[in-house]
Amino acid sequence: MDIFLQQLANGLTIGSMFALVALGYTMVYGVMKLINFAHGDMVAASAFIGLTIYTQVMGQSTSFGAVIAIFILAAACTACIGIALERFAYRPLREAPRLSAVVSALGASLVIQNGIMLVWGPQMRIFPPLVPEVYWDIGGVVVSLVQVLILGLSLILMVALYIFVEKTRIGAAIRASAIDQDASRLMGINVNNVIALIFIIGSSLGAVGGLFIALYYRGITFNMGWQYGLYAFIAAILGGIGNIPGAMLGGMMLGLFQAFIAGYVSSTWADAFTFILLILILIVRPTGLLGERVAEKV
Amino acid sequence: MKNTFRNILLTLCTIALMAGLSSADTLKVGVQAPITGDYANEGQGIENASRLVAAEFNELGGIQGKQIEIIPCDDQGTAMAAAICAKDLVNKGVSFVVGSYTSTCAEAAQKTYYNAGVLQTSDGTANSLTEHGYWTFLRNSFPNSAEADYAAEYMVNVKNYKRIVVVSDFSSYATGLAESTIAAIKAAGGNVVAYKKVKAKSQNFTPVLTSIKSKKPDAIFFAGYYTDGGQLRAQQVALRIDADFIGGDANDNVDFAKLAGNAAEGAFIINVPTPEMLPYPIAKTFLKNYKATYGQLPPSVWTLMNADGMRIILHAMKEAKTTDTKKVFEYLMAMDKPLPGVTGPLKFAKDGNRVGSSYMTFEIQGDDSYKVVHAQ
Repeated sequence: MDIFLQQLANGLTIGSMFALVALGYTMVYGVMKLINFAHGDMVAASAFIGLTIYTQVMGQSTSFGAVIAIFILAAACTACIGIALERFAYRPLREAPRLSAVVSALGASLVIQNGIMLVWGPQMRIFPPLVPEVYWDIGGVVVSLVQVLILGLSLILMVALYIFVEKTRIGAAIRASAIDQDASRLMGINVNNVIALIFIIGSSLGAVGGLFIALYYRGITFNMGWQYGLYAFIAAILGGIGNIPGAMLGGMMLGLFQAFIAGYVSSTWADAFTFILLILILIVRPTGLLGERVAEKV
Repeated sequence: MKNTFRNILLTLCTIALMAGLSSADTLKVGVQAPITGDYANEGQGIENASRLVAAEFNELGGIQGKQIEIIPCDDQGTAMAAAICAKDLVNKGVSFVVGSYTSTCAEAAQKTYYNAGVLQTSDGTANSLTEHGYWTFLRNSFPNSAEADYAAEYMVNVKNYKRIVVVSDFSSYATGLAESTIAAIKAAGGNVVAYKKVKAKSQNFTPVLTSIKSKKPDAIFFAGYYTDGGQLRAQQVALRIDADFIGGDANDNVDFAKLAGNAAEGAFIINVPTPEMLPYPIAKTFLKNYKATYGQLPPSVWTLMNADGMRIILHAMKEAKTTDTKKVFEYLMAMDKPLPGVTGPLKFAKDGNRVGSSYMTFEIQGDDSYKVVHAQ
């Protein structure tokens, strides 16, 4: 039983990181019908930006205020990259065929990835332990402070995002733009601003996810965005791409699924089973778990 | 007809003359190493050290009057790039090759060098490297089987572990070391309760470790590389798995302790002596020169192993007064007295393995330094 609970704790931790990153994919897809392949690399970039802020700006301080500042500054920098990405890589192609935008996204992904390599170098960098190494042993199940923080903060951010999108006027504008951009414009919504806002929110959440990944595993490499981007993308599809609660559910499910497969079957097969699960869900529910069947406009 | 024959002869003579002239310039030595990528600091160390060895020999007049020229090739630690490097270095006319760092890369390049008759000296420790029967391959480190025997002896008879778990990744080095260690533990009467494989660089080892925890081990032997070993150790301590961590030789890198954080303290690593522990006078001089030239010490002992491999081949070329690789190989096999090297006496067995080994167990201290707790 304690093994089951331990795997549950492991799964929820990695699941919440997947979910934070998946939100960026799903929000952009919801409004623009574009898969932002560069999102994973922005997640990696945020970890490196966080590292630089820690060493250069904060003078290697791990005080509570400094840690908060590292998170906020890294998220702000990543949001700027997100805005630039939208302005220069996606907006000029908004009226172009969808394939052009996808190619542009893949190109942006390579640019960011190689940019990280040029700035921070090709070797693995070590992320500092910003959070004290505290552990609790609850009846054989060991939970660390980092895990609790990751899970807690992710849930708070996700609930806040949900309330923002569902209950505020700007949230209503985002939802309207996702349904029909032309009609939204007629109602006086500035769709360009909504899209920029989507990139700011998505990139910042991805940045927090990237910092969590760096905090939890310590080793960061320039090409790690590919791996986490792929998992988060699967999580977004699982939950139904374009659907915000779906991304959260998909991320958590994927994390738990991977933990249980790796723990009870074999870590070798974790990836294979993940894709088998994805295929099965897409066969049974092509729009994902929470995705709605939307009639294609002709 | 006669004219044609004369022309062909003339052309051949010219080609021979030109070839003779160009090879008279320098003795080309290839360095195949992961200069970028995950093992970049090891690869850069190998390149730096081989340039230093070349400079030493060049100062004494080179080999048969020829200066040594280093031709580096970056294999990025991947088999695909390694195979390309091998072809490239052979085309550039190198007479022998130093490298690569990983067994996987050394193995991917082996056959090309063998077919071209180019000698290769690598620190790769996978047993399989010397099992193909390629005479061109000379191992400048000690094979996994030697390390496995020491590790098994240490774990079973010195530490008296009763329940050992062995973990490896999928590389040829790690699976080779893990499998020979399991065989050696069983031969020594020890008990392996589980053998788990992890995917290198997957970062999340907690699920595997949780199932290891249920086996209640008293020791975890990790046969992979330091990039995964540091994280495995950190996650092991985070899960409160009360077992000793024993890392194989590829965990010996400064980044291991950085990745493991506080958890590094108390971890054991098995390897040959680290550079600063080498007792030989030639080692002290070499390290001093290295530090003076590059401003830092070599990243690990593997750098020095490769430098020694290069040194003994150059020595053989000098003594045998030839750069013909087959004759150099025969000279190396006929050597009755080992050559003093930075990492100890250098001598090869008939299958290309280095003879004689001296393994040690280090315990990582609170300040990330090593303390020798057991020596062979």
